[in-house]
Amino acid sequence: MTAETDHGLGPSSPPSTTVLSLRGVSHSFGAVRALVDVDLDVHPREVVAVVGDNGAGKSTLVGVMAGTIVPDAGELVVDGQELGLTSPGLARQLGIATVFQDLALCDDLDVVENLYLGQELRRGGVLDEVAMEREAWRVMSRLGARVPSVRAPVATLSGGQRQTVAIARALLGVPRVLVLDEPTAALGVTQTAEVLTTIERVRDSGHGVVLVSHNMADVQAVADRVVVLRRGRLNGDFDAERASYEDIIAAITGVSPPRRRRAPGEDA
Amino acid sequence: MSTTTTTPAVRVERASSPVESFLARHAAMIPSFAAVVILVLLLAGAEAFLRGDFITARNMSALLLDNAYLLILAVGMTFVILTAGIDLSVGSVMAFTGILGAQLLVSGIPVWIAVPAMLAGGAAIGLLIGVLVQYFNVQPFIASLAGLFLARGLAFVVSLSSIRVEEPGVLWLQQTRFRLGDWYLTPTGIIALLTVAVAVFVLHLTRFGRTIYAIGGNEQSARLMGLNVARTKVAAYVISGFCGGLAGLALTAYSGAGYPRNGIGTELDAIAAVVIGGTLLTGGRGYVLGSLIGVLVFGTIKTIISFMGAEQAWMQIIVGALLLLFIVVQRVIVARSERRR
Repeated sequence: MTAETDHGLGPSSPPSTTVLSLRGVSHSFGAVRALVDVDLDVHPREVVAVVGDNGAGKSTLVGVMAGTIVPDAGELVVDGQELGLTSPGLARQLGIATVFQDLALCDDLDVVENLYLGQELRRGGVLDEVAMEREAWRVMSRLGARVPSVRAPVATLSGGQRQTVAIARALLGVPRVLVLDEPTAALGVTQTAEVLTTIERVRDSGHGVVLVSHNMADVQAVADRVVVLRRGRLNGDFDAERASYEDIIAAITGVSPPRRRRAPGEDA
Repeated sequence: MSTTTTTPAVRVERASSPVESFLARHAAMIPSFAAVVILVLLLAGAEAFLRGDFITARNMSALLLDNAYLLILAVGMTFVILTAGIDLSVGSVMAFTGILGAQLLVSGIPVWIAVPAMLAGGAAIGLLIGVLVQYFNVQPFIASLAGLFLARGLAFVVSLSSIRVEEPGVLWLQQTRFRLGDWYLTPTGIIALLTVAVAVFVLHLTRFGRTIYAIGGNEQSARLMGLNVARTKVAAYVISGFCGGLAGLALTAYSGAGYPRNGIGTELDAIAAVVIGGTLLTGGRGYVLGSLIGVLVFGTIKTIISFMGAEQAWMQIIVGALLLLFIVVQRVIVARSERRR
């Protein structure tokens, strides 16, 4: 199925311990096969970039990991246990935190409220606003975020600040895997650099990161491994250090790279 | 180069006047503040016009007493409107539970069964509407319209005519006066104020309340965040139905009878009070205390009209004008916050 598996796992990443694995995930929307038999492993201290053309199935893959899409077939393996992810709440409980492309924030609520929605700190049955606010400051400053106030409604923040709030929210529950869907698509140059730095910090603190992106520059800047999706199938798994830009682009577009020893016309 | 260009931009943002940044941060409160201002203006105007005969302990106490049922309905309605829904059934639910309670009491059922039955009846209709809205994807307007006709029909099934209530426990709710000087509170007033207090607690100090605001603000986001949207939305309608039952009890005590034609159009009064109190019909913004103010504005206008001996039609006209004013204020606020984005 997968035309090519250039399995170049770095020496530092032990192949046995994965924080999250997808096994044989398939999903169709009507007649459209969005994902076909996809496997994906995420290790701790690793940024896995998922790249692919429009319609390659990236967003569906994010939906499956986030629990918003229940796949037709296949399973998730977390801690050696096979699980069916049926809701976003369950995904969070399992430590899979997702930052969606549209961020999924509530604009009318302030930063603290957004960070803690669904996981509010409570003391004696009531919300502990003081503790939440203190913790929010700590998390936001650890991410190097500059917000005017953690009590400002999210609607008043800039795009980069909103992105940081969404990432901070995802990190609050100490997840094992952070899934980011096009985190830099709407950002300027400086803000993009900030988000990429944040991703590296998250990786260095021991989390696994799945970065879904269009942007090859971002991918090459932070990814340890690059997984290519093409028409719903895996079409390559590259070590980001060794793989060349051309190899990855070739896998995305389905054109066989000139230097590979592969029969011409072979495709996914 | 980039630092020199960004720094002033940040400064400009910071340098905006404290008033402006306060307004930006508390934009959601402005309509409720406006309601307080209007209430004060109304009271002061009436006081000046009637030469000191209006703001008396007796009048102010009666204001709460006469509008206790409306306040209870408005609290329930606030929950629903905060989730960006609407509940048109509450007036009929109030009539149905009122006549049901009266009928039960007359047939000799003890009060400690009759009253919970009223509350459960209201909550059940709320549950029906909530399930229709959430699981059958019916527009809240249509679902609660069905609830309106159902409850009104049930009220006529129970009895076609008014039923007097002789039960001392229910009449006690109305006739008891806890006095402090010329001020007094009836148990119905206390029930209404307690309802407000409980609602404030739930909306602002519990996870459930936070979820209500999140759903009204952005339901899609709330779902992606893993919040329990379905349960919370259904619960909002159940709360509204329960408040309908409680209002039925308050109204039965107030009028000393159950009557199946009670509360025709009261759901619209409740919605008007909630909107005047500063809750956005689009959901996600508003306060229960605002609804309390809204009910007081509503009641004050009613009292002023009857004091002046003017046509009751003026009541409708003034409330209509106020509603118009508030909806325009809310549109402006929403438009401003969207432009800022």
